[in-house]
Amino acid sequence: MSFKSFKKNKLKKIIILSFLFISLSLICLTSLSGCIDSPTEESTEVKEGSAAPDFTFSLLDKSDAKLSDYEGRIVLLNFWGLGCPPCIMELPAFETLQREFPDDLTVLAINCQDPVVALEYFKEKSNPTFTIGYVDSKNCPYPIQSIPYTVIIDKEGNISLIQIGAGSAEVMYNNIYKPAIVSLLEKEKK
Amino acid sequence: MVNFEITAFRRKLIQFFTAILYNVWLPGFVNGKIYNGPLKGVCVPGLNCYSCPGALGSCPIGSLQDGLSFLRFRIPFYVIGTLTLFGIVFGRVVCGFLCPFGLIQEILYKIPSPKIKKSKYTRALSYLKYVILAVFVILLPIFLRRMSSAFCIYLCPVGILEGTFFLLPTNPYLAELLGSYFVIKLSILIIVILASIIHIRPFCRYICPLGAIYALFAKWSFLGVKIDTDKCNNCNKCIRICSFDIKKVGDSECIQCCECVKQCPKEAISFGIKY
Repeated sequence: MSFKSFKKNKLKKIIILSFLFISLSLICLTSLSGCIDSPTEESTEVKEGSAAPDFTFSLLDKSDAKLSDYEGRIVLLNFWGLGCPPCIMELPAFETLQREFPDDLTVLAINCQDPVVALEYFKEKSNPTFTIGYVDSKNCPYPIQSIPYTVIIDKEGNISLIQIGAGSAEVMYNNIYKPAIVSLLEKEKK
Repeated sequence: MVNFEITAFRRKLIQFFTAILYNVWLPGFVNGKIYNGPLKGVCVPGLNCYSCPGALGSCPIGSLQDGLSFLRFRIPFYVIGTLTLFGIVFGRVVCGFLCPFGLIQEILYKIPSPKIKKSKYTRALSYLKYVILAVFVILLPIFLRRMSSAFCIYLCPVGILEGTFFLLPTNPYLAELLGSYFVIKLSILIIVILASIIHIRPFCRYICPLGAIYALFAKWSFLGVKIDTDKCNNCNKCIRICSFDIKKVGDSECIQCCECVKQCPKEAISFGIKY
């Protein structure tokens, strides 16, 4: 082996080793910080039957509200985004539900990804009866990585139904949301 | 003029470590949750899906679509500025060195099989990526806010490979949500994977809107292959041996793979800072 090719091989080895070292350090650092950071997701598990985690969100009049403010009413808590086609597709179902059950139900459509000015424009154009709010996904205890994410909460604050994803407004209204709300109201009467 | 000696091995090394660096957030793979920390606000130069659980940064095409979908409220200076910066500095050097999906296609091409070479048809097809850029990344997000990420929603196979496949094992409920969009994009992914075996980097040449953006900057980018006109004798061997539809070394179709550098009989081609 000539001296030149020996030097070349050595250089190759040094480069490979340094890249390996940098990559491994990065991997270790990111893994460690993943353990030390407090989880951004729910600390209490979100599941049907258990209490719905409380959280604070903002309304379009810039005031803040909490989920627990609505205790005593059935809450349909929906997380959505303007750029999410199924989210937009099912919104008419929420409008219908809010008008149909004005005294027992509050529909909270909480946006978790769009600028407020876009939401204000949306509200102006569509003028919904249901409540629009927004929250930073970091401050949200619900697993809103995949939207639409909908939770129906009974008057005592317990989760009655979790629905991930959506079809057409008609399908969602007829097959999922209305039956769930009607059954909660009927249980109340008993 | 600063030149860098880029061998095929060194370029593979850079591609390989770039792919690791973009997706190094291991807790994401374990927990099945997408990283949502401060680094996510930074766009990586290559086409790397935001939804890969390991991804530290954002996809520039995803970010551009999202920015453009709110164009009536604000101009997405940050994304446009980032893409301009990457384009001016690297041009399609990103394609050749800093894109994991490009690396995957190149690895697939190494599988022995009959190969389809470039032709006037591939040259014509290479304009498709500009159409995809214009329609799915720019026009649809601007004018149909409901389709704010039209390329991601309807076309992008990289998202299926990096996002869906890695999120599904740890988020089994996602399987119920897979519908027609998934089928379309999975088909595109399968076609791209199979085509990559017989034809070099088909996604980059015909579909990738990010490649289309960088292609627009290619002639003026800071880094890249360049010809020393004093040494060049116009034999055009570089164009003949090039696998891509270039008209000239370093043009908008040049992936900056540096194959021509070692093939030039006059050693007139080099890779480095062009100015």
